[in-house]
Amino acid sequence: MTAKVDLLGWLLNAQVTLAALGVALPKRLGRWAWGAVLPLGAAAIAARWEAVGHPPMRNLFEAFLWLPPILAAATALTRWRDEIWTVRLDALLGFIVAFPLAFVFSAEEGRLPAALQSPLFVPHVLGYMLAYAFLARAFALECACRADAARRSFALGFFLMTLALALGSVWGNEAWGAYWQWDPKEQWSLATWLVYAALWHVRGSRPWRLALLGVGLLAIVLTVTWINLSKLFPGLHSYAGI
Amino acid sequence: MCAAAALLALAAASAALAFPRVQGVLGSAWANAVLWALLLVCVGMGAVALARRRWLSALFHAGAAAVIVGGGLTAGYAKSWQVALVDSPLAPPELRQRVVAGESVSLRKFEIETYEDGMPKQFRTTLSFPEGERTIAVNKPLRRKGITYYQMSYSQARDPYGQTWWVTHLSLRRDPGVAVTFAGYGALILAALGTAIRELAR
Repeated sequence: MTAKVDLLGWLLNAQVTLAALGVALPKRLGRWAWGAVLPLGAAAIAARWEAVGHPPMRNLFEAFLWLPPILAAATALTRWRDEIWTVRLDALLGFIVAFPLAFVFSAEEGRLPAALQSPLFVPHVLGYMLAYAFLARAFALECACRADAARRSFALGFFLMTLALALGSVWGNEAWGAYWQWDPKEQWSLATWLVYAALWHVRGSRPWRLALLGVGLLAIVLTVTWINLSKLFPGLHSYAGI
Repeated sequence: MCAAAALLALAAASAALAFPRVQGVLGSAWANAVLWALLLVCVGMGAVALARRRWLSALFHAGAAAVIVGGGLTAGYAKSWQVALVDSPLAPPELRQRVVAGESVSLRKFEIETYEDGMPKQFRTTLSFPEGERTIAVNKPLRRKGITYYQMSYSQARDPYGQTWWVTHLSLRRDPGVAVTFAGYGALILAALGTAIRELAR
């Protein structure tokens, strides 16, 4: 665990601090503290993009860069004014993703290998980042007994996840000549999608909703982190290391 | 409730298949039986949704069924050939050309484009067909007469005189399942989008 002290590093440290303030500070102040993550996050993405010369989505660090500003934008677009708990939950999720970004993941720069040079690179990864943000949000909202907001967040997240999964498959067909290769990350992404698909069949029951949103979130966390780190799963997506 | 439990069981099976040891199950009678059952359930639920005039649900289940059918076609009827061609003027013809579906295809040239630091950025193979030359690269396959030509990788080979040459590795593939599966993706995406819009508007 080391702090990053270049420009990008300070943009990240500031986001961690602001997200924490967004959780802790009273109403108005907390809301503006968390809202400030949006421009800072956008600036961090721009700085990284400028530095590496390709859309910053090559590894876990670069993909995670997108999450805090996406979450802050989601807060700004929905219930910014009236529901302070939604803001606090988004700020908490933002803190959870910004922390490893600032202090755990390696920011080592790398070139884009040929397999990643495709017009589908950005929609596939961005679609997944948006989907993950909305689905994590759905779980947080469901925990906070905001069933309607959770339902909307889930429906949007599920669409984005379906889109991103299909685009990834189409891209695999362009790059490797097969749209499905039983790669560990593909398998876990499918498992995650199936868990969320199950939720459509039990929407009337809060315990089921909570359980499935929780299991889905766990599957997301395992898909994006453990699969990359574990030696148990050698696979096509292995360039996406920490 | 039953559908949710079944989908969770499938999710667990899918996650388990990520382990190399479990992957041996693929293609077994058990795995095929599960896929057939899944197809029947998808079609059945789609039909029920259709009868109840729940169009988005019907479209979604039809999409899922199409993906399974396409996957079956790929598993049963797709063929691929791995081809390695040596980029040397001295190499005997059988190392530089192949006969694909009755036509002679030969290697014209192989190029590697690098970043300033020497890391490979892109690599491309130019092939000569009866009608002319065509170039393929990573992420830029060539579709020709039902066969798709993919640039996979490259390696080096040493000739008897000690000189090294590039070897380009291609994959040729004919897959009748792709169109069906991708149509299924289209239905899934449309249905999920429609559902999201409905939920957001509610």
